[in-house]
Amino acid sequence: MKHEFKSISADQTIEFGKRLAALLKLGDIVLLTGDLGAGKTTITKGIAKGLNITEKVNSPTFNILKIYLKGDKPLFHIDAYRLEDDKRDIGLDEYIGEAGITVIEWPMYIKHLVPSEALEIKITHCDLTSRNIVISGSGHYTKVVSVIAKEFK
Amino acid sequence: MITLLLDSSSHHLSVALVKGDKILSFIDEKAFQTQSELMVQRIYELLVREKVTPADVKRLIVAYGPGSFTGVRIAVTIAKVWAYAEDIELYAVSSLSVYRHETKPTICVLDARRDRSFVGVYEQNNIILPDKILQNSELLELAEREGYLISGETKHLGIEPSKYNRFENMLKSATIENRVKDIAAFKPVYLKG
Repeated sequence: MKHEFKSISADQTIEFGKRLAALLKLGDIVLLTGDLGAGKTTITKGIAKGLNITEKVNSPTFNILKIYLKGDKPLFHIDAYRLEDDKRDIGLDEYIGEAGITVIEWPMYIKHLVPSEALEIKITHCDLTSRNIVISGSGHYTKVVSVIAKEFK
Repeated sequence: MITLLLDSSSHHLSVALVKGDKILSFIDEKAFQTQSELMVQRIYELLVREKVTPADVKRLIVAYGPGSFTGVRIAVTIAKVWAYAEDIELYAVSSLSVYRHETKPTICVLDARRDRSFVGVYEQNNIILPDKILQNSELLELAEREGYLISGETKHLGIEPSKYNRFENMLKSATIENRVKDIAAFKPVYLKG
């Protein structure tokens, strides 16, 4: 299932992330695709807020992985941008599935680690503040997409 | 002689203080992904509890992999730095061997993700199959065919592990072959690319 909507502000994108957090279960995988500055980290901030994580959430471009254990559920935030062409195993698969909610930015660079079933979100720039958001998923993610489709038009 | 045992290679954080052959005190808890925050604190707690000073520790035994990428590095780093700085004996034992049965041949298992496991077969101090990565289906077949006990972290296989005594096994494995000769060059074993 697939749904497309327009977020008119960063605040609305945060709200979208918060709503997602309430719909996600342990072991769920969220793949975020979009250009630099599109708002991938903004969605992650929303998810963290929805999980009652109070620590500052920023893009783990240099850390590759940031772990937030103090919210309602563990959140693993992976940014694979720097892993392009690097196939060394650094144990990232230990943070994908089962123990928490995993958000992956630039998932195309760690394709071999990403399960075939995941919630995919594509963000594109419309203008300075508004963004086009496409959310899709199969299997048990279908329900998540359908709830979002009803609430974000 | 006081020995300190360290293992953080899987979902557990395990530390024990041993005097001669007797385990004085230990902590063995589930602490996956928080071992790096907790391990030094737990060692300190044991030392205080047993009124032992760091200088009293004359021997270290560490499980050095295979296992969790970050996990194997935590205990190994602490053990390596300690042994190097204090110039004391260091022994490195397989993280899988700690799960063997006291007498019976055991296929020792840790989750290697994506339908694979780290696997080694041990019968007391003898290695029947050296540590390697196998598909979960292969390891189950092997266990069935050879009649091995299955132990370790087996949740991903949907079976209960057979009983083991981690610290006794670590102590028994501190043999001359497992002594680390060049501490500065000591590295964990990961087995994955």
